[in-house]
Amino acid sequence: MSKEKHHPMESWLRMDRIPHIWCPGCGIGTTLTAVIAALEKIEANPDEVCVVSGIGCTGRAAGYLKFDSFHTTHGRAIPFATGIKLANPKLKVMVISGDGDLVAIGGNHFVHAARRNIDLTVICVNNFIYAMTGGQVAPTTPLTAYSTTSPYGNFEPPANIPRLAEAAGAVYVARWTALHVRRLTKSIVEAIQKPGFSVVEVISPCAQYYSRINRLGDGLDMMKFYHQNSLIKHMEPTENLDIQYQEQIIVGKFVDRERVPFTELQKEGCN
Amino acid sequence: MKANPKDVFSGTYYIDGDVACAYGAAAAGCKFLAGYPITPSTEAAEAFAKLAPQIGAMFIQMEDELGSIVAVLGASWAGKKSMTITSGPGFSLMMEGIGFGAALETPFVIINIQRGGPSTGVPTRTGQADMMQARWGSHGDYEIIALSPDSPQESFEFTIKAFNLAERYRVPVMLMSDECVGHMTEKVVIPSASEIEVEPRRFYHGPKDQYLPFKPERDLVPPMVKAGEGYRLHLTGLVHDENGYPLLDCDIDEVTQKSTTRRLVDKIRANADKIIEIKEDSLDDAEVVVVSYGITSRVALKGIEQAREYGIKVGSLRLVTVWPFPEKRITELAHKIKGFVVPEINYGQIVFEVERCSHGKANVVLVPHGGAGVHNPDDIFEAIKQVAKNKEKYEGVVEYRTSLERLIFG
Amino acid sequence: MNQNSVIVSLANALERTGLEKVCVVSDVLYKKGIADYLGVDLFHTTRGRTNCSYGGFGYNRGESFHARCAQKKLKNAPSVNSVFPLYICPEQPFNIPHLAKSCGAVYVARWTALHKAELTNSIAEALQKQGFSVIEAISPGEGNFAGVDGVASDAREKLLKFYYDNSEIKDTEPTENLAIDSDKKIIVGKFVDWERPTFIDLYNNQLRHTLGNKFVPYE
Repeated sequence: MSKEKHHPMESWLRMDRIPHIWCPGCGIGTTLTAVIAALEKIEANPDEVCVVSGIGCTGRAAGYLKFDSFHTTHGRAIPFATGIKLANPKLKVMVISGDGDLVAIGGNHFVHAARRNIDLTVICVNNFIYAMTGGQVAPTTPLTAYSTTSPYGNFEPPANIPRLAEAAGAVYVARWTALHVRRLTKSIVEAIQKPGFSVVEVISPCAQYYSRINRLGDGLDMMKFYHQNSLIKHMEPTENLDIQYQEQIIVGKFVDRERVPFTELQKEGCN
Repeated sequence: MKANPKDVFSGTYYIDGDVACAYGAAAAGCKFLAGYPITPSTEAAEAFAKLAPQIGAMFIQMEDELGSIVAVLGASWAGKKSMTITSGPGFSLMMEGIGFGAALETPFVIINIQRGGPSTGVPTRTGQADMMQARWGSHGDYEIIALSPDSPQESFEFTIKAFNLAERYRVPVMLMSDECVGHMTEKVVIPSASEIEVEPRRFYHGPKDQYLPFKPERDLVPPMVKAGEGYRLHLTGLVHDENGYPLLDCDIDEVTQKSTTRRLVDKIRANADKIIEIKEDSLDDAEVVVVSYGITSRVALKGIEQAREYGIKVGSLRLVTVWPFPEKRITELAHKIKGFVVPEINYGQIVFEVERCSHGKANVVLVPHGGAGVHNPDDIFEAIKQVAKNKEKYEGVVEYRTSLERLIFG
Repeated sequence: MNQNSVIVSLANALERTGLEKVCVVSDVLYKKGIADYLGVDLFHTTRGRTNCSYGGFGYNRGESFHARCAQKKLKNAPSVNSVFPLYICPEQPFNIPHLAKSCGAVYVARWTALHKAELTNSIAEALQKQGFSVIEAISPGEGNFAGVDGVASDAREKLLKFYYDNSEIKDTEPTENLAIDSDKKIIVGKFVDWERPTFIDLYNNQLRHTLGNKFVPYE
């Protein structure tokens, strides 16, 4: 008998690509675990799941998940996913990408896909920084936080992702940290099952850049920080969800509403 | 394979080149169009938006051209024949997606109804100045195919041809039309479906776990699968191996050896003879050859006619496929003739290809045009005359001073 | 009429504020002439890349002014896609004031081309406001939007009459209620007017804080 240990989620992963490139203490792996756990929970047929990523650390998610998976160009995960979804509406199409990819370079696609209510599940891993390129300021970097391109402290007001998503028309919006694995999994289940454009923001430690540059310790220290400073407040108005540097992070499910998805409206329109 | 009768709106129409493209796309089996409105291409998108629900196709107007082209790639990988339609400024935005599409070996069609440039340029008037951008616009090594129609009838036919080539070689194919052809209204005959040859997508049929999305078969082209059918394919814009996996931790020799990039170039170059289509007229005893494409080839006809009446032995070579370029044929002719005359609505693009392939054996004269209109055929005639009379051999490309340029610049 | 009234309002507002250093940037298409008609520095950008006073499509390229044209068939054709005839548009339009507010705009107003005085006033206020201001001017697109939707060729007058009959001034209305829908009146007014340090203020403050005397303020 072989004593080789197997990862319980092996069948969902491209084991031939492991080890992955993520640093110790990173929250993206945890997020992927939550994604797989959610798909297991709803007994999704893996052949009918498509994962689309953009560029960046989170962009590599598509490379490790054993579905039809697409690692697209920077910022274009959502339009690529839109193409897949509209060409084959039976597929469950998930976008897993980072904050820079989704709300900076891909920001316009984000708001328009939300407005059209394309049936996509968007998992936005927010680590407050451009990590793949070495720690530059991101549209989510909190005020005063340091990065390699904000060497005197960030002065740009950061994006409030849940608020942007809600204002543009998303039907389901939640935020968790990489610590809240069970709640995150539950939200991903709900988001996948929700017809229309759903967004789940995952606040994730970047031990290598964000917390190193800002001297916040390693991944575990970030997890401790989340443990002490996150406050669950379901249905909190999204305008209260701004994140200040090293202050309380409000997490929870903020939006869960009904809007007719694009493909349904299109059918009506042609009749 | 023959076209599906449900996709073919057989009949005789009086329509413009843009609309003809939409009918061509429908006939070719296009089931997905993502685009963004831009003059002078909007009529094509509008026409397809009308046809789409009648042929089971999807039309979506995206937020910009960056999104449009990538949505087309997604749809193509989900199994639909897909295209986008644009003009210069949108074409510039699409360059990212074109390179991505070429790297993923994704079949799709881009229709570029060229307008005057650069930048916002002259939106409502014609131009042919995107020809080099079509060939080289995205970064890195890759090859594409580009066709150039000169009439609404050809806009219909070449759109079908573009889809067929895209599917056969798993490559982006560009229909490089222009405002003049796009807005020209003429008789267009759409034949019955049984007369239209359509290239079906070549799908892989082997065991699911053995599918390699970039392992070539016939003509160096790999077969495809659809997303959602259990192949669990992975695609990336990173340099990848036959499995589609990025070559991250390899040394440089291994990257070169395993990368599919070489084949992106080779599959078009090795098959160039099969892909290239040119239309030749009176080349047997020609002393001067006019090389032209698109709307300019129609204008050139008049200049050629004048030259023949004048007694010059002039032939015509029309590029149906502009890319890949018919290098061999140009070289062959260069050895036999005095010179080439190349009229184009730009300040010199394809003319440099002609010069390159002439290897100094024939003179090469450019008849330029700054755009927003077409040539005066007299200029083409005069340029032919000049080349026919000339006994000297020039180095490089000689620019003919058109009557318009002389008038403006003296 | 359509765009003209907006230009007139802009010109009047410029005159009223007495501002001298004004730079107008407009986007492509119907608004392209706007900068040309005003005796100020002007930049006619490529489409969707507007970043200064006039235009307002900077971050939502893809929404055309047709989207703002409210008229009776609106629910059936709520967006730019109405240019493509025959089928009803399957998309839902943006609520521009809400999006602007959510993204952090400090001044947000909406008027129709009929509300000339209010529009002028808002433009004057916005010009004097420090920070990102957005004014949505709902303007008749009689050429395509109304025509395609089967409104008669004298659509312009009808649309203006429609604005008259179907708009309601509600300055304090929360922006989430401002979606344009055929069942409801178009709510116009000034919805957001608050203070927030501008980009350059934030830059100067943060760097002064960090660098102290070594900092050379950016002007």
